[in-house]
This record gives sequence, structure tokens and C-alpha cells, in this order.
Amino acid sequence: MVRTSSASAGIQESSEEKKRVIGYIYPHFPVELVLAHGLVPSLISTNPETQGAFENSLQTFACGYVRNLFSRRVRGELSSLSGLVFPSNTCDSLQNAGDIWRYRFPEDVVFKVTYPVSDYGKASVKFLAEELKILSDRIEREFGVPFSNESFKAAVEMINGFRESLQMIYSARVIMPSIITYHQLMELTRQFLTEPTRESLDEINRHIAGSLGPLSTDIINDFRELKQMMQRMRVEREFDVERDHPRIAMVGGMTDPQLISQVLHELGEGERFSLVIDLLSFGFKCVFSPQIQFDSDPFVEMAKNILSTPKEPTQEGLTNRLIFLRETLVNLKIEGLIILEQSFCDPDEFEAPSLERVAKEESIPVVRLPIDPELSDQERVKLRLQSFLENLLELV
Amino acid sequence: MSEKKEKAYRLLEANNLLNQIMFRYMLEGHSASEEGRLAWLTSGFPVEIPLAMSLGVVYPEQYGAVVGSQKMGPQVCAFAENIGYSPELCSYARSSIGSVLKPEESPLEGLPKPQALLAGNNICGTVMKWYDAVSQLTGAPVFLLDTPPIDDVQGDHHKEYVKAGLERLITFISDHFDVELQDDRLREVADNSTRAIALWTEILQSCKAKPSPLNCADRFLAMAPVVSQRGTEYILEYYETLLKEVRERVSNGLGAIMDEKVRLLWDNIPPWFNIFRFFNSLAKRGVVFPADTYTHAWSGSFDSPDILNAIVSLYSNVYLNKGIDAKIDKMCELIMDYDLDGFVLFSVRSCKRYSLGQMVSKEIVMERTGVPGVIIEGDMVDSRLFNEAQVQTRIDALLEMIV
Repeated sequence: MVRTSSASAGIQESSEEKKRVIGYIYPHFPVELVLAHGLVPSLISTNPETQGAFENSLQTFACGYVRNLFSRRVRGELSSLSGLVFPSNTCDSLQNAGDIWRYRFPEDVVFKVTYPVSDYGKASVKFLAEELKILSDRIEREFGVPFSNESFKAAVEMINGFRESLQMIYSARVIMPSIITYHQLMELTRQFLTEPTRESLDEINRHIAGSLGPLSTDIINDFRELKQMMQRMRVEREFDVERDHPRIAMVGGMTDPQLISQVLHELGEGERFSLVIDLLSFGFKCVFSPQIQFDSDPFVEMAKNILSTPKEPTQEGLTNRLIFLRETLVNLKIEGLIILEQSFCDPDEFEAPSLERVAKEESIPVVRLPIDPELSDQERVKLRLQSFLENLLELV
Repeated sequence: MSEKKEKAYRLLEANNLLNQIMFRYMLEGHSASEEGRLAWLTSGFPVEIPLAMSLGVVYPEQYGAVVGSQKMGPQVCAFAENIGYSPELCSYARSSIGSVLKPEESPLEGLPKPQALLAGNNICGTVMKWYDAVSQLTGAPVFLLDTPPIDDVQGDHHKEYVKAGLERLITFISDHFDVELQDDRLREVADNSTRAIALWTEILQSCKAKPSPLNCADRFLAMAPVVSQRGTEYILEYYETLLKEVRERVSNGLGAIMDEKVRLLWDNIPPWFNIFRFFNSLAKRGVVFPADTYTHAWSGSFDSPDILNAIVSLYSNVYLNKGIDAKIDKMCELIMDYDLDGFVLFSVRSCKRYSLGQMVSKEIVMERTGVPGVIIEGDMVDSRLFNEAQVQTRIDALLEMIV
């Protein structure tokens, strides 16, 4: 179906191994379900090098993410995929995208998973578990590969290992950002999201061993405590943090952390300032998804897990997100906040004023950065960030 | 029947009654707010439940239409933009937020202050974010009734989930307003809704006649009570009166416009700031719109032994909560049933749920029905996004294909 050609564009090259690759878009998609069918899940991110080719299918006010996906498909960048899973009930741009895709590219295999927006407890779990079962049945019908409990268990062990390791190193660098640059951390995260294998997990663990091995038990305990708090989306006490450079936080939705980390890297992240926490869908929120359990039916467990992940702007919970942001800013001694707003992204653009208000109430300098996946106005983005950082460096 | 010869269209006498009940609706909203029992609702919310639990209700989307029709969209939206809400966001939301910020500079001095915000995402995902923003400004709590979109048939798991939401809604209202839901009162309200919707459906279907007794602007005004006051008894008299007038028009061969030549389908919300000018200028050229996808969205019945199940089914299956297949089917059905010559898809920048997909829909509907269609672009409230000359050119191109 959809053809991809480069790992840098966000798709793994597993066609050589003849393994079917299923692309996914939603940050909390249960990759373990795909692995349990013996297929390879791969996050379909945006490609900044792919310019507009969506005009035949979408109006210009579709969100930048969706426009970029269509452009990638039209330009033949997704062809190593055997199928693509669209999320339903997340945002209005993505809601219609799957339907439009089916009409525009009828030869493609398109799946859909509907996620609950509200948390009705058991009712939400039951609904989502059934949705995942429907997806699993469709995958089996489409490719003739049944859901395997053994593969599921192996996948869950690997994913839990990934989350445990990445959460540890993420928490560590929130306190001590000199351990690893944000850019490196996001590369490790992306590697796993686009190619969830033992090898990529081993590489993360090697980094952890190298970075945390020499540190004292007291420091490691602090890292662990912060990790536990952040799993609950809370930072309930102040931490003694490294302050070699101004400490910056970033918040937003589905903006690609790698894209922005590259820009920040070029502006001196790790040398002039430290981006210590991101609160983005494909950054913090993917990393801090909880461990998957084996207590009951796999579909119920996957549903419970998805519903326990840090909430997205497309879900209920603005008040809790604002509380978490405030605690993060205050207790982690953040000195500047960058708010990312993807172009024509309703959830990003609706939350931005509330996020900005929190930062201002805490007297923390803030910049709102409209951005599109192609970084079409890269120079302006850099200029705004540069100016924000220079002002910040003068202040602190 | 009043008839102004110099105009290309006929006015409805029932509009006098419409004005009276809309005035009553406004007064009741203010009164409910003063008594601490006012909820703001989205247009697709199951109003029968808050109404049966003695809440007063008002509709911010309808208020957006008022802001638009008074040509104050840019000004009121700007109040929201000035505190950081992007001009790319829904103009209903921006005008609503703007009017909360500066009621004294907004039409009708804004909506009365809410004590609860009840949002149903069966019309779009934006409503939750919009109501969250209003909640931040007013302190009123938000309840979201999640009705996930449906592709085909509503599965049992979907019904159970939405029903769980309804049960939580009842608890939410009970807790916040110290009221109980009485079954007989819910039945009464649901019966009123069913009767209002049935009358409305009959009115819409009368437009199959040639000439069509109603044009688009007529229906967009006349739908107000079925959107905002369904469930009340007093709107039934209005719809009975309107139906009588419409039947008279049909039996006398009188159309909504004087000289009907071309019959078109309208898709989406109208440009409220330009609604009369737009449709009446086309009426002068003999163009009438006997059907549209928007006013047909209020349909169905609660005639079921289990009202909650009926609510689950009706509110989950609304037009905007279904996939593109259902939308295309509906458009084709209307074009065939109402014997239409073409269609106009209004691409509303504010409304992604309604508008994204129109490019594909246009191709498929043309292919299936054999009639031409055109996409015009703009917005429903924010007139800054409406280029009249460009719209006119596209409509002209469509009419050239038909006439």
C-alpha cells in the first residue's frame, strides 16, 4: 500500500525482512496488539521535507499533521506499510482523515480505532476493549495472522521494559539535564516508537548504565521519586535540580519532538540552555505511559493501559493538566516555557491561552510558537526562539 | 398571506409567532440563570434530560448565529483573539468566549451566566475545548457526553458506553442542582420532542413540492425552536402554524421564491452574516434551495418503551456523528427525493467536522447523482473569511452548468 523509504522520515525499513508493517498515528495506540499478531507497528510521523501534495483531498484548514500525512502518501513515502490505523474520536481533522483516505486511496488497507474521550470508569474500559478486539479481528481477517498470547506477553515485557528505562532516564535528566541532551533522548524514544525491538531497548539501557551508573544512591532515589510522581502527572514537592543553564519546559500536543529538538539543538540546547521536560504527545506522554498488566483479558488490559496514560488535549482533564503544568514549573524550577501550537490544530490552539495564563501567574517567561510539520517558516521559528532565549539568558 | 410584489421571495406569516417564542426563550434563559439553574448546551445535546430535571437551557451556537446575523462576528471574535484564542479556531467558540469577556459590547449583552456547561461531542470535538474555555472564565462546571462517531451500525458496546454517559449526566445534574429525574416528566418532555421533530420533518418534506414552499433561509430561521426548545410544549403551536402555512402554499402552487427555475441542495451551516443577501440574491435568479443537510439533522423519535435507549440511539446517530459514507448517502438521497438540479457545499473554515471531506463528497455525489456541485469557501460568523466575489464566481459557474 503506502510506501515509505527512509527511517529518518519516520518509518522503519523492515521490508527486507518481509515483515508486514502497520503504521499508527495516535500516540497511545497499543503497539503490543500489532506485535501480538506478528506484525510490526511503526509510528507515522510527519516529514518536514514533504511539501504540500494534499490539495486534492483536503482544504487548507485541515491540521498540519493531517495535511503532511496526505502529502507523504501522495508522494509515495509510505509504501512499505501494509496497513494504517487511524484514530477516531480524537480531533475533527483526524476524524475525517481516515474516511477521506479510504476514498482517495482505495487500494490501501485502513483500520480505525475509536477512543473514548470521557473516563466513565469500567464503561470506558469495556468500550475500548471491544474496539481493540474489533481491530484485532480485522487484522486477522486481513492478513491471516491470529492474535498470539505468547507474542502478546513477549511484546508487553519489551514495552514495559522500554517504558521503565525511558521513564528513568527521562526523570533523571529533568533533575540533571547534563546526563543526556534532549535531542539524544528524543532520538532514543523515536527509535523505539518506530522500531520497537529488543535491540533498541538494549541501546536505551546502555545509555542508562553509562549515564546513571556513577551517580550516588541518594541522587538515584530522587530520580525514582520524580519518576513515580510523573507517572501520576504530579510533581508534589520541590526537587534539588541542576541549574548550570536556564531550565526550559515545552508543552503542546502532537508536534514532533524530534523536529523541535533539532531546532533547539541548533540554538544551543545543552550548552546555552536546557530543555528539561516536554509534555508533548510523542515525548513525555508516550514515555510516561504506565506498565501494561497481565491480570485479565489482554484486550481489557490494553484498554485499561491506554486509559491510564497521560491525557491528551483531545481528552477531558484540562484542569488536571494545568495543575500538573503549574507543579512542573514551580517544583522543577523551570525558568521559561515554550508553548507549541500546530497550525490549525484545535486542541493545541484551545489550550494554549490557559497554559500561557499558568506560566504568567507563576511569573515565568513564556513564548507561544505556531508551527507546522514542514517547518515552512523555519527562520521565523528560529528567530522567535532565539529572541526568547536571549531575553531569558539576560533575566536569569 | 403577505406578499411583497417587488421582492423575489415570499415572507412567512408564521415568523411573527417565531419571534414571540424566541423572545420567550430568551426571557426564560435569563430567569433560569438568576435562579441558579441555567445550563448552556450544544445543539446535539440530549436536552430532554436537563429539561425534565427543571433546568433552563440556552444554546451558544444559536447565539453565534445571532452575532453573525448582526454582523458583529469580527468584533466579538476579536475579544477572544485578544486574550490568545487563535483566529483559526471555530468562530462560534470565539464569539461565545468573546461575549463572555465583553457582554456589554456583544449582541443581547451576551448569553445569561451559566451554572453548568453541557457538551455533546456528536456534532464535533471542538465543543469540549470550547466549553472548557468558557468554564475557565465563568467557573461553571463542564459535563461532556461522549458519543463516539459511528461508521455503520451502532454496536452494543457503543450503546452501553453512551448509556453510561447518560446515567452519569443524570447524576451530575442531580448533584449540582439538587433535583431528581422523574420518569413521567421525562416521558412528557420526550413526547413533546417527538411531536416537534415530526412536525419539523413534515415541514421539511413538503419542500419536495414544486415550487418549494420554503427556501434555505426560511428553514434556517424556522429550525431555531426545534434546536433550542424541543421538549417544550409551547413550540408545537408554532410548528403546527408553520406546517399549515406551508401546506397552503403547496396547495396554491406558491413557492418560497416567485419564479423557481433551479433547485439546489445546500450543505453546511449558512453564512449567518449574509444569509438573506446570499439566498435572496439567488432567488432573484430563480434559484431555490428546497433541501439542506443541516436542518435535516434534527430528525427521529423517542417513541420507545425505554427513553434512555431511544436517546442513546437518536443522539449517537446524528448526521455529523457518522462517517463520510453516511453523509454522501444523505446528500444523494436528498438530491433524488427533492428532485434537485445541483448542490452547493459550503466549506466552513470554522467547522472541520462538517467541512473536511467535502472535496471527496463532491466527486462521489456528482458521480452517483449526475448533477453538478460546487464548493464555496467562507465562515458562518466571521465575515472576514468570506470573499463574496469569489463565491459569486463559483456559483455562476455552477448555474452555467445547469441552466
